[in-house]
Amino acid sequence: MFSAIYIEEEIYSFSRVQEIIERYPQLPKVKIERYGEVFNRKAQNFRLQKFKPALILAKKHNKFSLPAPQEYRIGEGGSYYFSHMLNCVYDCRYCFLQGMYRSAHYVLFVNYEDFALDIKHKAEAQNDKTNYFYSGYDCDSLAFEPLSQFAAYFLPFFKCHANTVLELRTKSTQIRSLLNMQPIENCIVAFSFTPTIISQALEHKVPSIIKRIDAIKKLQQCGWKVGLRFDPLIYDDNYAEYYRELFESVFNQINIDELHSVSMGVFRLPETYFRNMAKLYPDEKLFAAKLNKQQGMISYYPAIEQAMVQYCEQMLLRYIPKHKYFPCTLG
Amino acid sequence: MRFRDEVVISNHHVVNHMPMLNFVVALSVEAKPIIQHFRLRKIPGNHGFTIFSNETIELIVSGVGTVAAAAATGYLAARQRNEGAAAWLNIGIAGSLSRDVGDAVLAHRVIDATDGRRYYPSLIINPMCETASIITVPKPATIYSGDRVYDMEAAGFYAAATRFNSNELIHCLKVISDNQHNSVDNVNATQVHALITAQIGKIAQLANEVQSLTEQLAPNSMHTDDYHIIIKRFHFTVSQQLQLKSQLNHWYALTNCSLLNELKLHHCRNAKTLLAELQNNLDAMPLSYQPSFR
Ligand code: SF4
Repeated sequence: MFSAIYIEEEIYSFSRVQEIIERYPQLPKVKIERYGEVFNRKAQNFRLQKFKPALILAKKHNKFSLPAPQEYRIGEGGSYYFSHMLNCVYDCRYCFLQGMYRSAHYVLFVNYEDFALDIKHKAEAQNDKTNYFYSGYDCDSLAFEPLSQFAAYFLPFFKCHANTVLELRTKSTQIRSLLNMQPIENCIVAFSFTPTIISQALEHKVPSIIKRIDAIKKLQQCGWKVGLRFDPLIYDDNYAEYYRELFESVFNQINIDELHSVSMGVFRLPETYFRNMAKLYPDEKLFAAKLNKQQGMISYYPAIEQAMVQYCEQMLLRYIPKHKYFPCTLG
Repeated sequence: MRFRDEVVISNHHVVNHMPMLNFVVALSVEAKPIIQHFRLRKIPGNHGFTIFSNETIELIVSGVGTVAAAAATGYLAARQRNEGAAAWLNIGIAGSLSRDVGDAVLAHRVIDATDGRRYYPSLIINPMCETASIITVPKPATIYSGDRVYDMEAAGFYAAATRFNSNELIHCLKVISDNQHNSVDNVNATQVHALITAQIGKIAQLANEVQSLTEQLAPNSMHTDDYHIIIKRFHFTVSQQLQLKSQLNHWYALTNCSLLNELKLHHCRNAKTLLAELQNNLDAMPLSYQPSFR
């Protein structure tokens, strides 16, 4: 439940907006000019707001999709990410959103049609290539689905644009929208995992690994393409055992032949985000040890990082063929 | 060990990091029910404002208007120099077109009528009454419009308080004293006292909610005590003080054991060697996310 709903005046009458606000008759509703006047304010505490974020319904005016970071890419061709939402229902302690935004309120950009138009133009401009569009960069793609109906809107759209691929990155088990329709060829539902002990310590409110594996099984049974993202790799003195157990339990239960792709990413944050996050959670182990600053980025000490990547890669490649593996390309 | 010995001596000097709750109230007559409820006592001395307090609460009587409210808020914040989080509440009477006299209203937006500035308190607390936009006007309002609530301090208070703390901890609660049927000219001191007294339960509830939020942000007391003991031992530059704070955070993130009991720091000759020793120890500490491990 939200603490309040802020609504940009310009979109107040949109049917998508009206449908959402009608679901919460008891909540304070506040009309605003632009979402930034609430979201980008100084004097906000992300940690406190996370207890009960507000929902901000807004309109995105430009930069609907942007070139995707290198480490996101899982195929050749155009690569873009787009965010219909800022912030996430879950509360992963390693999440860069805590360091990037001042506010933990959820911003939902309701003008999906404008996003779709931008995606269409980008795909048409490069119609000789496959163009990848990644959702789930500034939010979880599916966790808000019952309210946002994001997948329900965009999946039929992508289905009509053959030279596009949509990646829905998620830790959610909100897959009803997908199960209610025929699977589409050019969509990959990419689930992120860390080992159980680490997930329980750092991924607050995230569905358990068992539930996520169940969701994957259901999607695969219906013919949806699924990807796995072991990102970020988190260090623990026992990481080797934990990741071995994780790979074992995931790969023993899902259909590896039908798996679209697997990628792995290291824990890496811009220093400014890291500092904001450590200030919010001074008592957090993740920010307390084995970390190194290099060229404005915080990551594990190189020896730790290399050992983890090497070990996890070796383990992974026991389960999957090399062509399905997309390593993190950061140096 | 020398560092531990100093606990006794230094405890006399340890800064109080108890989360504070501050009330900013325009008039004595509005303040009185709050002073009585929380058993506040007048702080003697020449402060330029009348201030009341108990161990965790301070109340300042600001006077009427945005300038007075901002000045009083700034004065209280500067006086406290609290390193932890503090909550701020502005309580008073207000006018409205159609709300009933006696209703309590919590601000979900504060608008300064003179310059149009807007503030948005985060309502992460459970609102104990209806919420509304409060519009702060320079003179008592006699013509009201819409669903808004009219007061004379909230915007000045809010602008000043958000310089010191975050907006989840800063709230304005107003009790309706006048509306289209009851003119502000007819409101007297006895009525104001009665109106605030009738809503003291909601005011106390709001106070409780924001106080428990400030506790979420209270620094680890072992950490704070260690810090004040250690910096008395050597000269620390400002950047070394920050480094020490951060290392203490890291220590207590990784273990529950008292740093001053665990570490042999007595051979350290200055701040630099102490920080290096501490870092070596941190790097060598085990890192496990097992719930039982700390
Ligand atoms: S699920 Fe992803 S977006 Fe959401 S909090 Fe976790 S890391 Fe951040």
